[in-house]
Formats: sequence, C-alpha cells, structure tokens
Amino acid sequence: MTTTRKSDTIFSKAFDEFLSEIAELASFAARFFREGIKPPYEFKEVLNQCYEIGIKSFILVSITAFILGLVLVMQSRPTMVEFGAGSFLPAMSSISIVREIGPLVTALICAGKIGSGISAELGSMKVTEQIDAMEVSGTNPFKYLVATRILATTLMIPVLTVYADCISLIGAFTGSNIKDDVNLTFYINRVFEALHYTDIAPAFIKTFFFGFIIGLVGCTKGYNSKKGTEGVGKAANVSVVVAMVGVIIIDMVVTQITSMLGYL
Amino acid sequence: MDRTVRKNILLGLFVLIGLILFIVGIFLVGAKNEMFIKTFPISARFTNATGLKVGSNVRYNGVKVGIVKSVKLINDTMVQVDLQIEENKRGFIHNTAIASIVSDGLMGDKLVNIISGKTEGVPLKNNEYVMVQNPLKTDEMLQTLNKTNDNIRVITDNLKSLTTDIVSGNGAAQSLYKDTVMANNLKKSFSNLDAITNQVLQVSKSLQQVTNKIQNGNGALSEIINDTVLAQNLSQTMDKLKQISDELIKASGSLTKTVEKANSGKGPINMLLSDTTLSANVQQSMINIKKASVGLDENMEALKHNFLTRGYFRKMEKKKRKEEEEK
Amino acid sequence: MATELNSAADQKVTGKEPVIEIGHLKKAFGDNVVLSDFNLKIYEGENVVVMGKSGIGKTILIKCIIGLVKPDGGLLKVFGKDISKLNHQELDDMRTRIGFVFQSSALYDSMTVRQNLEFPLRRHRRKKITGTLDELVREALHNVGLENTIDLMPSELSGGMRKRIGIARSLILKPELVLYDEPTTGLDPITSEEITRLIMDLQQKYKTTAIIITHDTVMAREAANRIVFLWKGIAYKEGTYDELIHDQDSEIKHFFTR
Repeated sequence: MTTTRKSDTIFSKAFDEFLSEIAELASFAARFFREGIKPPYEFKEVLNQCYEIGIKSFILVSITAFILGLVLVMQSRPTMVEFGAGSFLPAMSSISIVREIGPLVTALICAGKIGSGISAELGSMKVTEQIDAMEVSGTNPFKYLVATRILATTLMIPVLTVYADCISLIGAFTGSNIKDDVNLTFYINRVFEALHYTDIAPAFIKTFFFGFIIGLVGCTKGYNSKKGTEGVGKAANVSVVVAMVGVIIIDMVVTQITSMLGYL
Repeated sequence: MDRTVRKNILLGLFVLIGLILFIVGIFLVGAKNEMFIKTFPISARFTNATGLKVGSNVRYNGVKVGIVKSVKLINDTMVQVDLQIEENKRGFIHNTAIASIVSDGLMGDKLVNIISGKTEGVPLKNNEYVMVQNPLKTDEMLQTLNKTNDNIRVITDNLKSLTTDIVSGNGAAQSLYKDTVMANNLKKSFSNLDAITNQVLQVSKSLQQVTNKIQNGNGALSEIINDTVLAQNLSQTMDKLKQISDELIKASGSLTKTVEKANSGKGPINMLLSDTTLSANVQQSMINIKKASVGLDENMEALKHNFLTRGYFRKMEKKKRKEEEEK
Repeated sequence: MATELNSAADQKVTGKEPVIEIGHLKKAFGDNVVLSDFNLKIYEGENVVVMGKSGIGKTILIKCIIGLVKPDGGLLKVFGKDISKLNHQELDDMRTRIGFVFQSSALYDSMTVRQNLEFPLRRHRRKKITGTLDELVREALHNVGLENTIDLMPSELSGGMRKRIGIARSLILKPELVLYDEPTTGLDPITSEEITRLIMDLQQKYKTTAIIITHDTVMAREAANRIVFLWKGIAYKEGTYDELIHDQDSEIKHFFTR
C-alpha cells in the first residue's frame, strides 16, 4: 500500500488530469471519424440537431453580435476621429468583425450555450440509462447521439457566424449613425471595399473547426460523465471551459497559419 | 410528424438565408475587388514597393481604376508591380502617365497613384509599362555628382602641373609671370574657383548628411523616402550641385586655357611668381579643391554602398565592362 | 459443468437447451469484485427472480447478458451463442430477441411516447413482426393500458406510467427473453402490485422467458418460478419462494423477514 505501490500520479495531479483530458478528446474524435462516417447515417437526427443548435442559438448570437458591432464602433470612434481617420471606421469595423469578432463571439456563445447543453443532455441520458437503452435497441448511441451532434455543430456554427457577421455589421452601422450621419450606400461600399477573400476565407474555414471542437467537447464530457446528478453538472461546467479554451487555441493557430501563408 | 416537418422547413429557411447572405457578401467583396469585372494588365517597375500589397488600390488622378495584381522582385533593385486596370478605363492611361506609390491618408494603405503625363501620349496597351516616379531621383543625382567630381579632378590636375611648372621655374611658366593681363585673368579665375570649391564643400557636406540619414535609416527607409522635406532638400542640393558643376566647367575651361597658354610659354610668368598673395591663393584653392574632391569621393563611395543606389553603380560597371569587352 | 448447476431445474426440463447458460462468470470494477463465480441456467418459459441487496451486482449480471457490460471471465451463452464471440451485427441481431426494462425506465426525454416506442423498431424490425408502425405502437400501449398518452412527453408522465411505457417499449419487438431491472423499485405498493400483475399478464400473453431483478419480496412471490439469491458474487442459494422463505441461512432469513 505504501512504497511498493505505483504512485497514483505520473507528473502532478493537475497535469495528469490535463493529459487525460486531451487523450479523452482525441480518442473521442478518432471514434467520431471511425464510426461516424460509416452507414447507417442518422440524417433525420442530424437535421433535428441542426435545428436545435442552429435556430435555437440564433437569437442569442444575433443580440450579442449586434451589440458588439455597435460597441466596437462607439468605442473606437473617438480615437479614430482624433487621428483624423474617422472615415476608416467602416473598413476597420468590417475587417475586425469578419476576421475575428463574428467567428469568435459566435463560437464562444455557442460553446457556452450548446456545449453545456449537449453535455448536460448526454450526461443525464447516461445517468438515466437512456444511452444503454439505445444500445439495446440496436441503435449505436455514439452514432445517434454523438456523431449527429458533432456534425450539427460543425455545420451550424459557420451558418450562425454568417448571420453574426451581418448582424454585427448592422450593429456597427447603427453605432456609426449615433454620433455621425453615415449614408448606407457609403457604408456598404466602404465595408466591402475593405474586405478581401483573404479576410473571409480563413475566418470562414476556422468556424468549422470551432463548431467541431464545441460539439466534440460537449459530447465527450456528457458521454463520459460520471454517474449521478453531480457528475452531469460538472460535465456541463467543464465542457464549457474546455470548449472555450479550445476555440481560442484554434483561433490562435489559425491566425498563425494565416499569417504564415501571408494573408494577414 | 407535423412538428418535425415544421422544424425542417424552418431549418431549411435558416440555412438558405445564411447561404444567400454569404453568397451576396462574397459577391460584393468580389465586385469591390474587381473579381468579376473585365480588366487588362499593365505593369510598373519601382525600386521600392514598401507597403504595397496584392489587392491594393490603383488610382488615376484620384479615381479608382483597378487593383494591384502582384508584387514581385525581378532583380536586386527592381520590383515589378502588375496592375489590373478596369477595361472601361483603358483609354485614359497614356504612356506618358507617371505612377508612384503614395499613402492613402495618414493611416491608410499604400496605393499606386497614376497621374497624367505633362505631354500627350497614346493609351497604354496590355502588358505595357507605365512610367514610374521613384521616391528618390538617385540616378540623376549621381550623374551630376560624377560630372562635378570629374571636373574638379581635371582642374586639380591642371593646377598641379601649373604649380609644378612655377615652382620648378620652367621656361614656359616665366612668360606667364610677365603677362599681366594673363595674370589678372588667372587671379580672377582662382578667386572664382575658390568660391566654387567652397560651395562644393558646403553642398557635399549637406549631401553627406542626407546619405548618412539614408544609411542610418535602415528599417525606416520608406519613411525617409516618403519624407517630402528631405526629398525637397535633396533636389535642392542637386540643383545646387548642377549649378556648381556648370560653373566649375566654365572655370576649368578658362583655367585650362590659361594653363595651356602658360605651358606654351606665351605670357610672362614672373609677375605671378613675385605675387605672393596670388601664390597663396593658388595653393589655398588647390587645398580646397582637393578637400572638396575627397568629400565628393567619399559621398560617392557612401552612395555606392547605399541600399538604394547600389544598383545604379552596378549597372554602370556592367555597362563599362560591356563596352570594354566590345572594344 | 452442468452437474454442479441447479439440479431441480435440470431435471424439470431435461434435454432442452437452456436459453441462458452462465458458468463461472467473473466481473470486477477495480478492487470491487462484483461477480466472482456465478453459475446459472435458465430454460424456456421460466421466470427467474434474482434477489439480493442493493449494489451487489444484480444489474451488472443482466447487463452482461445483454452485452452492455463485458464480463472479465467465464462462460455466458444466450440462445446457445457465446456473447463474447459475437460481432457487433450478431450482437444486435441477438438483442432483437431480448427485451430490457431499465430500472429508471430510460425513456428518451426528448421524444414523445410514440417516438419512444418507435425507436427500437428503427433498426430492429424483425420479419416475424407484422403490422404498420402505428399499429405496433398502439398495440404496445394497449398492452400497458396507456393508449391516451401516445403524444405526451415522458416528463408529463408519472413514475408508474413511465415504468409501463418502458415495459411497452421493451416488448414492442416481441422478444423471447425479457430482462427486468427492478421494475417495481421506487413505486408505491399498489402501483408495484399493478406492475407485477402487468408483467405476469404479458409473460403469459407473449410466452416469454424472464429474469426479474428485484428486492421486492411480494413481486418475487407472485412472479418467480425460481429465485436465485445473489450474494458475495455467487448464486448463493436457489429455490422456489417457499423454499427460500423457510431457509435457515441467516443472510436469507434476514433478507426475507426484514
């Protein structure tokens, strides 16, 4: 029990937990690609999850995106005007919204809302034996519950981001008009003049990864949650934290790659 | 079942609108970036394209006419900038037009600005080059400097041989001494030369400052190039140099004549010899000219090593070598 | 191996293949040994009740049978096939012949009662089951007397109703073997009795073999042909209700006279 027994930790307790967390996510992702892509496909359930994830997050994402667009312009306006660059406001806001704010805000909001939702749902299904029941009913619960949700988040976060970008730009336009009188045509012209495909493509591509990580983390935490209601709550909590950190790390990596490719 | 159908319809609508927004956005961006407009290509060659990117705007007299398609190095000193000009603007840009890289406002992007030429020309055709105004007119400046330097050297050489003659009391020099008219001429020439060499020294000094500034500028090279005050200074300096060199050419011409005369022993030289003031003047002039010449040489050397102007000298060397080979 | 197993049952149905054959089954979770050497044979038409204290491994036992839990060792044959040697498809095929009633009913929260009942039919549609989806669902609901709940969500049902729907869902595939995991736990005595009655009726109607896990002695008395008392990881005692209730072993006495 004492000296001869193997130590309970390899490194430190926290680092061990961190490593096993990564291993858990990786094996789950591997399982997704191994099992999720094989027939039979659960198309109906994917659509259902897309509805749950996409449409039910729309209002929240919209409100946040609008307010952030508005605030962005109101905050940066005084400084820009001071430098005599007031006319760059539309260009600046469009680039920051499309490149960063739209994708990131959508992903973070969804990590909070969808990530916790998925892990709480799967966690309680696990606790109440619904996952076992599915397995017994001849439906692979991994495919039916996990693969569909990961696929749905991967597909829906980009769509939500498109909405978030547009609504955020409307917010920025509103913000420009609070202290200034900006013509809509002028605004749209400036916004799209400032944007290039090199702004849109990396930002759009990274949203798929955001969606994937949100779905993956939510499902992993829920599916592997410990028995008991406490375990479910903890799973939901941890999944939000991990998903958010994951989103931000992906954002950093994508930015680095984009800049290495010279698109920055 | 009804509920599922309703859900799916809503979902379909949601995705469809998202897709439409995305496509419209892409199209708008494309339209603003000339992706869907018929264009024709022209190019411009700059020595420096700091801040210019693919997609940067191209303006003609302030009106947007296209974008930068690519920026590439073609040799160690030249950057080729390919421009995509809207087809319907084709007739406006003539071969006399001049392109330059300017900033769009204080914090703005760099863009290529083309201004109409001073003279009438013919419209540019596909893949033709538009003339370029480089940030520094280094070529011209260097040419001027070269000429000045050469002139001074000639004068110095002549004066050297003259003084040698005087000092060694050659027969020919004696006659120069006696020729009072000639002596007066010489005196005048020397004082002129004195003034000129002083001027040369001054200009050379300011030029030295400029080159120092460029050389120390390193990373902020573009700043210096775009510094209009400095550019003005430079062009003023050059103008001055040109003037001086012209004067020097004149002075050297008259001196050469005098020296030739002296060498051929036409005038009396005694007067010159007894006139100590004049002698001192000659000596002083020579020292000054030598100094100026050294200073200019130094400047030339500095410019030779300068990032901006290196290419010019290499070209010159190449040309020389080629000419020699041809001979 | 058969000789060391229950002789009474063997004699009763000689020459017949047992539906379930368990020999020396082992299962441990870390240091916690749940099943150490469990032996049991169940023949067609039998209602076997497995009794024992909570947390002693009764649920693990039936989860092993249906392949939800992998045993550490021992023999486990269901319908004459070794569970551990089945591939995924074969296991799924076998599961269509087994119904499993979960302790917590395990109704899918996000689905209506109708969708819950339809769910096993999505993949497990066996040829011998005839009729449209709707007919099958209505028949299953009729069996448990809850036809009017068809479009309700599980959250709108009471505990007893959820149990009934759970049973209906397990029986919708007309299985040959039904595994009940504590079907009366958490219910009031009257509802318990109703559920017991329902299970007995359905057993008779569909002529299934059943393993019922319970610590409800009333249910054991009503339903059991045979009772297995699980303790210390083995089939500690076997017999009819009457045999066990008069058993002098302190553990069993304690359990039945509680």
